[in-house]
Amino acid sequence: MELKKILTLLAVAALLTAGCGQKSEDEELMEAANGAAKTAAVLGTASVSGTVSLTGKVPGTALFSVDADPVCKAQHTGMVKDETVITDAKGDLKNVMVYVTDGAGSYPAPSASVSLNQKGCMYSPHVFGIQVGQALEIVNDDPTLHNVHCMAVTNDSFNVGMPNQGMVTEKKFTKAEAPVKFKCDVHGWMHCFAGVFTNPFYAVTGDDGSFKINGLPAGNYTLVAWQEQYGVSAPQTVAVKDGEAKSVNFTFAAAN
Amino acid sequence: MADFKDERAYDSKTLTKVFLWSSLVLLICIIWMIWKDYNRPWKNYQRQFMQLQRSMAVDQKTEAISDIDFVKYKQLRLDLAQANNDLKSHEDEIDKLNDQAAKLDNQIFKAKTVNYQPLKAQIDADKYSYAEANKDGKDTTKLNTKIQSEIDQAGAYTQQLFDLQQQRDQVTKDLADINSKRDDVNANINKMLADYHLLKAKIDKNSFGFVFYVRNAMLLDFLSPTIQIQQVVLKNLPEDLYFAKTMRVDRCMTCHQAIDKKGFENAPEPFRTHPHLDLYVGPTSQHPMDKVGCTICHGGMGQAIDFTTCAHVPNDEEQAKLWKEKYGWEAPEGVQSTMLPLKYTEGSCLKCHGTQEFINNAPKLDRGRELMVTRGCVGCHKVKNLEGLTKAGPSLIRVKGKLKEEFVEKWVWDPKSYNAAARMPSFFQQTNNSDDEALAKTKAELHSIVQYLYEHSANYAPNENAPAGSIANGKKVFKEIGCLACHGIDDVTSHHADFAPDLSAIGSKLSAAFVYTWIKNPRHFNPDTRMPVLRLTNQEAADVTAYLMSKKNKTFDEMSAPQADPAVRDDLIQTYLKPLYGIDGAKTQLAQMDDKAREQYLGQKSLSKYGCFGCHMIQGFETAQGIGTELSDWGTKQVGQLDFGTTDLEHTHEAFVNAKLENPRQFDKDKSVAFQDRLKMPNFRLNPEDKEAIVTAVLGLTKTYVPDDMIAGIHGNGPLLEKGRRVIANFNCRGCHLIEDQGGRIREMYEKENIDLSLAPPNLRKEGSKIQVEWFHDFLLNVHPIRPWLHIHMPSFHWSDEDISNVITYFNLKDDQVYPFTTIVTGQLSANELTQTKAMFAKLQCQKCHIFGTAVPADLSTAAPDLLQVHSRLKPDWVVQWLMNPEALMPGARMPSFWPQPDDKSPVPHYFHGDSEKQREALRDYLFMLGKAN
Repeated sequence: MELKKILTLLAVAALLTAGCGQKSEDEELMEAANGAAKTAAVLGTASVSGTVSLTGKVPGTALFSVDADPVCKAQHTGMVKDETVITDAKGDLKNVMVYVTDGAGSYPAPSASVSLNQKGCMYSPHVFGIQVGQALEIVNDDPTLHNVHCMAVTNDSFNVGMPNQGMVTEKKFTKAEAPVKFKCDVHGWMHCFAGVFTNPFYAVTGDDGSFKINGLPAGNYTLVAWQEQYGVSAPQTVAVKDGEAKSVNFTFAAAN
Repeated sequence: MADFKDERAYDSKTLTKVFLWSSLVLLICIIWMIWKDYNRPWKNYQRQFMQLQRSMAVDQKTEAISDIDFVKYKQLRLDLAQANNDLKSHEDEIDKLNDQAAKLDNQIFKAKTVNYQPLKAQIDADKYSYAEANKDGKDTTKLNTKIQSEIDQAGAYTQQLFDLQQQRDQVTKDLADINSKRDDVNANINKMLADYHLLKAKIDKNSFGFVFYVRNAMLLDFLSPTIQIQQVVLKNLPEDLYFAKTMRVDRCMTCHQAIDKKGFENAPEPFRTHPHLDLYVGPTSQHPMDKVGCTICHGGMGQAIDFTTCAHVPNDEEQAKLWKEKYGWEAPEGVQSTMLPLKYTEGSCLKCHGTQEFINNAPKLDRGRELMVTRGCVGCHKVKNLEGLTKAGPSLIRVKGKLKEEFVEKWVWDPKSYNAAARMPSFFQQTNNSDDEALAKTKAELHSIVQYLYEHSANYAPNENAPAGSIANGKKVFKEIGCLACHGIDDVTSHHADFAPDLSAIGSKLSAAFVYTWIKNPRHFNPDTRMPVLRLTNQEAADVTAYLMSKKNKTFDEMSAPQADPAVRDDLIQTYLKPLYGIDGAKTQLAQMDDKAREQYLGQKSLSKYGCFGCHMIQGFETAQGIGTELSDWGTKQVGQLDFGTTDLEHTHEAFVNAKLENPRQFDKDKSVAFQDRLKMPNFRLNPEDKEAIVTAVLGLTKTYVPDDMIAGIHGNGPLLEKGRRVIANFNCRGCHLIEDQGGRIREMYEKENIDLSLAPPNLRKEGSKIQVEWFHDFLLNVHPIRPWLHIHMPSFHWSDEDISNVITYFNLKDDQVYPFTTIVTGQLSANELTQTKAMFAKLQCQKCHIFGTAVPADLSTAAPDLLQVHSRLKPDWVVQWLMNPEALMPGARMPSFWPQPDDKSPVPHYFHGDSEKQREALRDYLFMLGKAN
């Protein structure tokens, strides 16, 4: 008797727990479908802009020779300026990548591709950002052999020979990674850097060291700046409301 | 009858009470017992694990839902509704078809069971009768006619069935056609939701449903519980119970439920996935659970299912504390086998891999075994599989010509005062010989040892004097040329090798002439040395000498040597003589010795006592046996046999060997031991990592039965491979090269100092399939650089033919090359093909990087090997593979892929009709032609 009672009780309890709170498949999925539409990443209207500058003694521009390859030599007069550290008279730093490390969601890759040129045995742009899944079009504009050796660690690395002028190679990155170094093993001086992000909130500073990140939804963000010689800056946080334009400046200290 | 007298000897009322209470107590005990059984920790773990699996599946389901393309899903739902709606207009048609189907099914059934099958049975019966009739010699004509007509009839039935079936198939097809749209949409939806459905099923499986409660209910759980002990039985790996061998039974997975399941890498213990599932436990790994189990590697009591009784052993005190709180853990006592603390588990690899030179996946153990050789452990202690190796210390056969006596005395008295990174261990000034009396005695011993060594040393003089050199350039050459692959020096902090002596104070030890001669030709001093020739110019050698001679230890230079007291020496000699000659005899014997003889006598006795010959070649000790305990199965020695003395150490193997390496003399503490009987093992001043590595290697030395077929390195090509690996280890090839993707230790410097790794010594991962054996042999016999512009370069080793052959065989077998590994070149290009290939070769601009005969590339930093050497150096098949995908053969290669994989699209489609494979073969054939023509 006792046992039967216990068993009955257990059975009832089990049935109750099994029956309770169970949604039908359809309900569950449609609920999720409606929820997903709401949270889909949408660009906002806020922006963050600023300047990246170098404090301390600004190093002079280093020069190097590209005479090793006659094709390269022909496209330059004399020595070529090293692009590792480029500043204007005030010490504003060019080619610094500013990006959001925290606070942004994931955004689908834009259909427009990013282009990386090899021209005059130099990479152009020297620093650039790209989204996960976005096409990178690598072009050889020179009538000489280049190889694009991508030294990615998180993403798949690759090393493609591009012997023809006008040749185009298309690549995509599958994971966020910054920085990713590219180099040419034929021309030892050639290198450039990419940042791969899951959102479009990144910018590279121009000649005057300025940058602007548009389209931020209202929220709190953490930003960092990265420079190839000086590495990653201390993070800065910024809170923006819709339509607001905020300013954030970064500085790097030059080694003495 | 009025008053009934109870004549029983007991009071039934009291007794009833006693019965009542005792049965109550019994009932409580039974309930308690049942509850205890129901509540056993392992059962709770299994319940917890179900919950964990369920909650993880719920999370994964949420994720799976978020991965669903809802735009598409909604569209499919609409399509489905539409399709269902469309079907409504076909309802009549469907009904009709369904009726038809039912009718046909009925007819088919009838045709089969009423017509065909009975007839078939009749035919069989008649055939039997026919045979019987024939046997009996009866007339069978009639019967035969009957059978024939029956067979005809059966044929008609079969045709009828076939027709019906065809009609039925048509109906099915018609129905499917009408429903096709709906079914397609449904199939698409199911495909889209496949993950979701799988996870839903998983959640259901791990829910505590009615069936679960019944099967695992108290009292019922003996029938068919889902919660039960899990185990593997390992017949091949018996457990040794002193006098009997029993099958090994491991039940660890009863609690470690996810040990072989992916996805629980971050789950709380005991539910974590094994951290190397690809290598251990996994069904496709090299050590699958059903073949290897758990305890053969981890130790412990495999059959126990309780935290303490299965003999878990913590890594450290912190973990012990945590376990006590969490699991009520107690230190295992009196058990057959305790678990190895996790940090020493690699030691167990030796059970099957002991004969292998290195194991690769056990880096700590490999390091420990390397240290046991290079620090000289095996000089005194016999260790199975580590016998007959090169001695750890330098030969003292010609010490007279190399070192000053004073230096040797100061050095042996306190090696670390000369150089803290020195490998020579400290024998003197230790905890058991630092009292005044022992100090005086050890000084006398040391003095006599040095006297003996110099008396028994051959003469030697360096054959060249060092020209003046530049310290700065010497420092640069020393760093760049590759010395750091074996030697450490304090000027370089980005990499510290300890395969060969640390040279931070070498200027206080050697003379410039010795260093110069040694660098130029180490074999001039020691014909058996492993130090190679670096092929330096005289000036470079002079610069390196100047640099090394500048590395002095001033404090050490200013120290004076310990002073020995002849009276103490004489006392010591007498302690040796007394047992042989008695007290008076000893005195007489001593009196007969002159001063020199006394020094020689004590020197010889002391060298024997301390076992110096274990590491050094010493004249007169050529055949002496090491003085330490054999360690070949030390890990399974009974703890009771270890002398812990008065130390308050835990009585475990790991505590003992750790303490022994920390301070070997501490076990003499508080004891009264005569001076000459005190512990002699020197202090090796190991850093914590090295100590842990050695402890791992020593704990792994066990006596465990493993069947031959499970021993690695002894089957097939194993022994041949091991011969090559032994040469590789003996000459520290992995100081520079990555071999089997391990080693390349000098790369650490390149990485830390941000130097391009493609300028480092090469990875030899596919050397066997790459290099032609004839070239390989010539190269090892007479090294010449492939990339002469690199600073670091392969030195010239003095290898025997046997060494060379072993190494080449090793590389070839490792890459599955077929004996005798020779190269056959077959490719020939026709005139037309040659024209095309030449044009293609120019178009691909190979010479932008590769040098070509004597031509030196414009930019040395991007230069690549000489293409004119291809025909004699490289294997033809390898060249084609390399051209196709260099990255696959050599990760990080600078050579780009011109035919990016997997598309395999040629950048020069005008040649060979754009056939990538042909293009690569043509280039290969061209390179082989070129080389031969030159």
